[in-house]
Amino acid sequence: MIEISNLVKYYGDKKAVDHISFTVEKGEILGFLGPNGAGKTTTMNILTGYLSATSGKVTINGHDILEEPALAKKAIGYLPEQPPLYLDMTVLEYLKFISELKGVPKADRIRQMAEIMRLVRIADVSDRVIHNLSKGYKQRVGIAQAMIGNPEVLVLDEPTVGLDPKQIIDIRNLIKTLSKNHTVILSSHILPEVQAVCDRVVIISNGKIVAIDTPDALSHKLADTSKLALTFEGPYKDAASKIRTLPGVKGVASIREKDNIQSIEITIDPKIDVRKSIFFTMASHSWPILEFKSLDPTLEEIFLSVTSSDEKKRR
Amino acid sequence: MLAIYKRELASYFRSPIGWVAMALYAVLGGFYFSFSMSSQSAVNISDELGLIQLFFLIVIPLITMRLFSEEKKNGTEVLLYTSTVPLYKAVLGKYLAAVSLLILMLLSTFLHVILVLSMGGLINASTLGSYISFILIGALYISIGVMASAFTENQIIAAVFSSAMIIFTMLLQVIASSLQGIFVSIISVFNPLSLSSESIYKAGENLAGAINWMDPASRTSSFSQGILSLSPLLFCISLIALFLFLTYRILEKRRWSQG
Repeated sequence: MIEISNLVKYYGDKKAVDHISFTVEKGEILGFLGPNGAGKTTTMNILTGYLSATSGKVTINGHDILEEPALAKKAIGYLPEQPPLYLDMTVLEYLKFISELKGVPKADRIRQMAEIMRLVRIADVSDRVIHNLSKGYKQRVGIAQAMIGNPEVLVLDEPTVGLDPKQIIDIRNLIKTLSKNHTVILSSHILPEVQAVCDRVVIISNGKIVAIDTPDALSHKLADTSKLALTFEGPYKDAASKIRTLPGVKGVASIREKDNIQSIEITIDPKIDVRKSIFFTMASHSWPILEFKSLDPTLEEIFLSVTSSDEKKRR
Repeated sequence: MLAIYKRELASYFRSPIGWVAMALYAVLGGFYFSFSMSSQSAVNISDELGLIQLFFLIVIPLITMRLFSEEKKNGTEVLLYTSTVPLYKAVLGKYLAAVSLLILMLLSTFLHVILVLSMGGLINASTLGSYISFILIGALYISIGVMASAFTENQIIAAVFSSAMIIFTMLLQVIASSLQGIFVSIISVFNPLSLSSESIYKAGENLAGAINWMDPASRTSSFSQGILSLSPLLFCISLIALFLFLTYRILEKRRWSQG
């Protein structure tokens, strides 16, 4: 479906993308994960034909984006990080313009626009000027724009950034619905988001791919850095020394202390479930547990774990 | 391309720009028309066009400055680059939209033509020629403005750049004659090749001629005398093609270099 091979992009002397290669299969949701400035947007800009690569090749359905741009671009709908909206137009005018720009046959336009507006739920604002819409609606108009012309591939750059939690869930559900009929590539710097929707994840850092895998396999790799957060009332020193002696506990660190209420972080061996023994230890000393939860690994930890495991393999 | 053309033309009238430009020309033309009717009891449409042509300096940067710079600033240029429409068609679509607005701005002067005709006045080839030369020169300046707008995402810079280019073009005749004077006086003082004063004067004249050769206004001046010739037409169209081609190349280059 999409083949990216040895992509390199320089901005002046700065190497933004460094020999990136991967393929995307039909019907797949591919997540593109990395911190800001890792080269996600640049890669997406290249594969949609917005920018040209310094070297390397992108083919979409066998059509090279530089040699047969019309055929390759027809298969792609792109939502850039900043939705490309003409703020002075109404939603309907805007989508009509996009339909004309993408050369949707006149007979299909109305039907297709109506269907997309229903799917992304913007039909109720279709007569409003885009400038006056909320960020969530603007984002959805941007997604509608990408869907017009019914492209096989949707490329979404940080589709949930800047939205409120309810809107984020809405957009995620929308992406899942879309994936029934489309191949989706989406970028994000939020791990749970990628875990929630993607079949496969490409992790990119400093312009290089550090890992390509399924979300499950990636979290498996992460397994040895699991952490628990615990808040309780009682003395830190005594509690910490008691917890440290429990089997499976690797370390204890204080996060915050206030009015004899302690917040601590416990690093554990994921193979042993220490939650019960921690509970009974605290209970036996009458140190009431106020909060107890496992910590989601942060992106930094993913990087550390992925890159360090790569190094281990090399050794 | 039609989609881009239609959107651009419509967007002139969604913002005040289109209306302001049309109103400006209606007021200026109307002022001239009524003034000459009452004071001189004679009206020349060609002179009216000549007067409002001076305001190209303001109007053309105004209508061209946002064409590409705004797209870059708002991030909507992605649509142009990633759509299946080739980039040169986007340039043409936007250019033609601006030219169409210029023609719409002339609408109020058509009213004056009708008035002149209804009162038994004379509308002849020279009036027609004035219209053609007005549109040709306007179209040429618009192509300069379109190019300026592709340079930068700042509309003000684009406007200043195209104003400067338009002033320069408008003043070509003045520049030519003053350069001629400077050239002749400097060479007469130093005269390293010990030329005769006659040949120095000739050389100065040729220099001015060369600069005047580039002046679109003096080239199309025959039009307002009712003489429609091909060479000024080709001259303006080639220049327009050149500026639009440069615009296309600037936009195409950005795809390779921008960050």
